[in-house]
Amino acid sequence: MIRHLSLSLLPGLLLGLLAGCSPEPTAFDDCGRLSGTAREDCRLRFGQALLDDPAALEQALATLDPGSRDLLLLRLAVAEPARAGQLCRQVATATAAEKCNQVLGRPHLGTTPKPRQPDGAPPPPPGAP
Amino acid sequence: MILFLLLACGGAEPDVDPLAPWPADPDALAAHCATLPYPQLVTTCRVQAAARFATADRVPDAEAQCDAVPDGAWRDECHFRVGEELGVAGNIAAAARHCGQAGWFARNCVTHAAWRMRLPEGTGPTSDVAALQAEGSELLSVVEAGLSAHEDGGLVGEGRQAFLAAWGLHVYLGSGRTDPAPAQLSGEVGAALRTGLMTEAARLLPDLSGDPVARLVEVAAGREVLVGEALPRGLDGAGEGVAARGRWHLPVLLPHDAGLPHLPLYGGGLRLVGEDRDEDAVIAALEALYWREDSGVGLFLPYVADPRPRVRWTAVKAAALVARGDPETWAAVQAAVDGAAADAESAAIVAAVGRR
Repeated sequence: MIRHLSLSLLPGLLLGLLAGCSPEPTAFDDCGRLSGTAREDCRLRFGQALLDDPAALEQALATLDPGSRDLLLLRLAVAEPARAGQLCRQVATATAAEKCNQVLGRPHLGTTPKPRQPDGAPPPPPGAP
Repeated sequence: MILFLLLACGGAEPDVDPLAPWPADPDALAAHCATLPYPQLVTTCRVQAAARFATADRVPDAEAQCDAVPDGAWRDECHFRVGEELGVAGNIAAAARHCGQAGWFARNCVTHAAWRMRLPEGTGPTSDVAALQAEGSELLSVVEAGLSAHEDGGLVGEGRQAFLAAWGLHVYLGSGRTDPAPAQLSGEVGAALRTGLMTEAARLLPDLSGDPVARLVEVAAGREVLVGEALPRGLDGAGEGVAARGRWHLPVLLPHDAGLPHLPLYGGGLRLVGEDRDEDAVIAALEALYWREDSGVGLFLPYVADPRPRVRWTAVKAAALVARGDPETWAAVQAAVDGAAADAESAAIVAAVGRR
């Protein structure tokens, strides 16, 4: 009887788990349904898509607890060093700021290689006086 | 099955606080990096660990950290950090090798590593001249070897110039001495040492009365000796130090620089190398006096009419750079240039500085 009952409940239990799991997140706010590293990776993915919309990014950041917020800002700054100034300015904790300085203090990280100039040959070595 | 579904719905909670402070010890930091959950944090952590290993001149450990960083800008950055820290540690061969692996950042790496390089213990104005010549030649050799694999064919030339120029400056600057013998050497090593001798002489010169250029030339010839307070030589890891206390040589690419032998100066500028040792001493003196912040244009104007083109152009550049922003002084420089040699290069130099 009990065995029969538990077998009959199993499909419902699985369905419930799947419903709780919910479909793939489609927006930043959906990431909160996930947990652990998957949640933070989801926020990074949707956060990167918001980089060109500072107001939307700020709105998204406002929904996060301070730890997740700093983590996201830092990961975005490392992934997009050219925007580190804008992102690291919003970091709240000292430990995140320390790590942000790895990007902020290195402005060349935000530069991209340029094609060599036509006259970009190396300067001649100093000649014998 | 249930466990699988639970895992599919979420990620594991990290075992460590990803934003925890970094340990100061490089070994502890490297171990910490390996526990971090997110690739961006692992990368920056490894770069920091590599830099700390390099500070301690632990080259294989630094290399291992950089090798673990994914290929791309951050791997290049890792080699850049290691290169500059190894320069500060005085391991120039390894510094150059890492700068040579710094990709797009290789030239930045060379500049930082060179100007922050620490000289070998005991190297200075009283060193044996032959030993200094050998040290300069060895420096060029290890720099060339370290940078030669880089795809930018201009890097070797830029690197050897930067390291040699920085070495020549650091041999003298801050030593409190103006022993002239090393600066009598010929070739590029001698030219680099003359930059150093003249800059230290300009620092030690008690005042700028008379013709300070001529006085520095007397020092180079050994007919006048200047002594003074010794300061820590070179630059520290933060780029602070005696070289940074003067007027920086701005990175102005002047029309006359193309094709003429030259040496880099601290701050990004270039100085011409004279056609002979005496001419080179005058050029080095003019550049050194420009570095001294209390020098005015009057000091350079007599040399604007010098018959030697490279001396004349150096004086024009220094006078124009000092006069920038002061219309009255600028007019005086223009009048001097117009009334003196009136060569096209001098006029072009004034125009180039004026555009900055």
